[in-house]
Amino acid sequence: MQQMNAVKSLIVFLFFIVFTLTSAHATEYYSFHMAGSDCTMCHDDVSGGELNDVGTQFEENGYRFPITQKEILFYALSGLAILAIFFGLFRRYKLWSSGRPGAKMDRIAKRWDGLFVNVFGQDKILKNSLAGQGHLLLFWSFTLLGIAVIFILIQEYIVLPLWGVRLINSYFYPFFRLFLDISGLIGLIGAIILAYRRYIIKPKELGDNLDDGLSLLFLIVVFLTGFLATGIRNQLYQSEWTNWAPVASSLAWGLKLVVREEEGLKVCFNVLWWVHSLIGLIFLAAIPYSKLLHAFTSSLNIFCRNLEPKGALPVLDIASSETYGAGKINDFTFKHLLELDACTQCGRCQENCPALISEKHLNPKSIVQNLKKHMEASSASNSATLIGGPVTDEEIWECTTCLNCIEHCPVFIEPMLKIVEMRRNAVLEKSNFPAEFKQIFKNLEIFGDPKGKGKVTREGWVSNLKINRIYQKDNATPEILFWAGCIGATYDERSKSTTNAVAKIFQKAGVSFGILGKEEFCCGDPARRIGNEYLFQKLALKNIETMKKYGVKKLVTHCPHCFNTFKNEYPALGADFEVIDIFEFIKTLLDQGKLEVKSKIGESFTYHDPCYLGRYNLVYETPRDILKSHIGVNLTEMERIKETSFCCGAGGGNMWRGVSAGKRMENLRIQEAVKTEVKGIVTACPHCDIMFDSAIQQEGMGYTFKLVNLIELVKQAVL
Amino acid sequence: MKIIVCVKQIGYIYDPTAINLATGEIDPEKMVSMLNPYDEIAVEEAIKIKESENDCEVIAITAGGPEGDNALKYSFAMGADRMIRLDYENTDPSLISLFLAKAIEKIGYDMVLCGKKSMDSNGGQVGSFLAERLHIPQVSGIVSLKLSLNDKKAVVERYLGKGDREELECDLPALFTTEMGLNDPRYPALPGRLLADKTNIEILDINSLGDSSDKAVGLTDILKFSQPRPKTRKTFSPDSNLSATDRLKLMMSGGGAKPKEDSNVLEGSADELSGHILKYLIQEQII
Repeated sequence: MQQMNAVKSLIVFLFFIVFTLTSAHATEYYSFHMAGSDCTMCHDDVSGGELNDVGTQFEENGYRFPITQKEILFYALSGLAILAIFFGLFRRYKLWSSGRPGAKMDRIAKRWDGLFVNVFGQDKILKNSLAGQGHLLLFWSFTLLGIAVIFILIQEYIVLPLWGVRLINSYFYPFFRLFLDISGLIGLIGAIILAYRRYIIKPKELGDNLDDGLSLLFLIVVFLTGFLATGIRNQLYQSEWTNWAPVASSLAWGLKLVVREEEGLKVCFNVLWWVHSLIGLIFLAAIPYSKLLHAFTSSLNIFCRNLEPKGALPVLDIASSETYGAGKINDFTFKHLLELDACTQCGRCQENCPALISEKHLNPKSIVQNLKKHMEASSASNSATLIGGPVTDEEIWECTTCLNCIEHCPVFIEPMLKIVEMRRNAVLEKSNFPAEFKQIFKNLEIFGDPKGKGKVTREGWVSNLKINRIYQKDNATPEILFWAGCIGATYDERSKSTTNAVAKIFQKAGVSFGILGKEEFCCGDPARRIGNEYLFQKLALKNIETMKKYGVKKLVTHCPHCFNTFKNEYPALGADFEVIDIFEFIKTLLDQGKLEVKSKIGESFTYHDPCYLGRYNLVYETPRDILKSHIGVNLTEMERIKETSFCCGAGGGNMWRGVSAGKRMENLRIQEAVKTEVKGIVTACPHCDIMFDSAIQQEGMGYTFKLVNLIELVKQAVL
Repeated sequence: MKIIVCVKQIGYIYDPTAINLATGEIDPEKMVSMLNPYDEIAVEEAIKIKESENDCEVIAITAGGPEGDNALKYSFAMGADRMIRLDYENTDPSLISLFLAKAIEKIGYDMVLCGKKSMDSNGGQVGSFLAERLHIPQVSGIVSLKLSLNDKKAVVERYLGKGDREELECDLPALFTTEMGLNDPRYPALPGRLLADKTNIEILDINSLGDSSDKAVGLTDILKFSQPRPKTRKTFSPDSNLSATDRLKLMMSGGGAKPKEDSNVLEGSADELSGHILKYLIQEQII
């Protein structure tokens, strides 16, 4: 993989050098030589007629002009700028390479597709419309100008010398001139929009970064000086094409009001030219050290992005690992370290992180930025531990693995995965984790469920229903295995009732299903999210063995955490059973008439998208469809729904933690739900049930605000 | 310094209905296999001492069948240095302690730590028997241990109940049995667990420990099992999904009764019940 990374980087380096050289040369051609005039410099008239003296000399010299002092100076500076970029980028590459190898380059076609959609299409960035539009304009401005200079390069060094053909001829040049003008204009507008957002609106998540502000300032100056220089040049030399550069000309006209004499204008022109060129060169040289690095690293990161299912944490190969997770900075993979440089500090992760919103310590943007600074300083302290260094203990454990940060990052950075890596190291290598988890781990290992209730309690929810236990040999093998899960079977009365409701619904619809009952072990999700990969794999392999033993082909469960881990994570460990989305299944039963709605609910509710069903597995519409179109609920949506749904706070082990800093996430969410002035909140996850039950009691709304699982509503409607 | 820690892999019964009263057999599904929590505390104490002293060796020893290896491996993962299993599956504390004492004397020791009792047989005797056989002083149920190795003494504390403690000074070598609250055992880190799987466990045959047929007398005998009286302090809260009759049955029996499938108790809605009652009355020729 290291070789692939080197090749990749080399290709992009080369692109960059070519780009820079072409800018230098294009500037050279049109600034040095066309600075004097337009086509009439070499020809008799603008339609490209006979060559005059200058033109003839040019042709005789093989289409090259004699070199001036100005040129030498400019080339020297450009050379330095290019070296600076090269060394800077190489240094960044070395920083990323100090990590473990690990940037997958599979499914190349999909990656190119993603690059086009997200870099050229700016798809994810546009989710925030003001920032997105400003950035879109700026990005396309540079891209179009870049295309223009490549065009010039092709003309000057390939087409013209080889075949004597001039692409930018008297007919085409005016359109080309207009094209450059408009490209510059959209860039200027984009930069102004971004500056307006940064300094007038001042959104909190953006922070105030001198580096970013300076980059914007420089950009605006570059655009303005470019326009002014072009406009003045056209004025001074009475170019025919003045009207084809409307922006440049209008700005220059403004300058002409102030500086009237021709000599003064000539001085202005030189100054503007040098300011524009120097700022441009400084910009280029500073790419590896400034905000502009993101143009390179973010694009690279988008290309190398993680294409695994969103819900799947990476498998840790315990047998062949010497260290586990990330204890120091170079335990992270190349990809993770590259991501640190891809971060543009836009703050969208921060804006949506429930831990930060509930005033805890965790801030995903800070995690990324602190790790980045640590990486840069790492040459001195490579073996410094991360927790207690750039990252604090509290931050790591406050993450609920809700996936908001990954969902909203426009350049596909994954702060949550870095947190999980650090958790793995803390748990597996150092046995350093919040005290509440110790008993959870022990219970999982000894009893197979987090609360240590024991396997024989797992069938209590069955009550007096007649359900096929697939471990009883005399039973026919059913088509589907209904998995109850730990919350649904062992330790929560409300959830046991929900599990029972699923069974009743299935029986009513005549679904052939069986249960494992006391042969279930915890799916392992809590262990894995907390970072105990060893325990997760132990549990998972046990479950997979059980599934194979009884020939389980299809599994359905009403717990999104179990659903997610079976669907997205068990296959990597050898599972080969199909995992069915229960709400899709129920909707199909309703559509096919196997379930008949006997009485519509007819009340107003709001619906909470569980993290592990929504963001993780893209199940947004099916539950809503069931609610609205089938069982007759009047659905009023909350403000934060679907991809921005606000976590109930149970994930990542946080359900078992006692005291937490800041506010309680579940209380914030209930407060948000109550604002919709409905009868209650509908959930689709047993974890959310537990959290919201406690929140509603705490808020004193036990009699005024209802909490009901979607399954229970369906049961109420069909039974 | 050598510390011997006696550990046991127990079959902990978590459901009170696990024992078949007629046969004495235990339902394996109502039991879980784990390292005795009191022994875990003993191991933790030994490791803490090892971490604070130079040149300290912790030897974990158990008497039992192959399942005992799990207790040893867990102890090793926590930080013990050696694992020894006496291949001996008798449950009589006098006999266990006899062979343990022989093994321990061969190894040599400065201190022996045991759990106060095991949470399956709940006998609490092996530690005391062992101390007698080794002819060393013993203090049971310690909740604090401070060593002063220079004067070969230890200062320990025990609960006296109602919040009171007593402090005792004891000469070393000695045997201590641990009570809950002595420490909070660590969760073993992964490298230790993996190393434990790869490290050799010394398995001792009791015959190799020398002839002791004259002293090998078991002193305990199980006469019978009986159901404990329902505890009054905790009320069994049955599943609220069950019918009222089943719930009552469960509450009265402390969780013992199984809801019967067929019985003379009828369940259902008012309509259904009146139908059934009518049928029954006609069937019994009452009306």
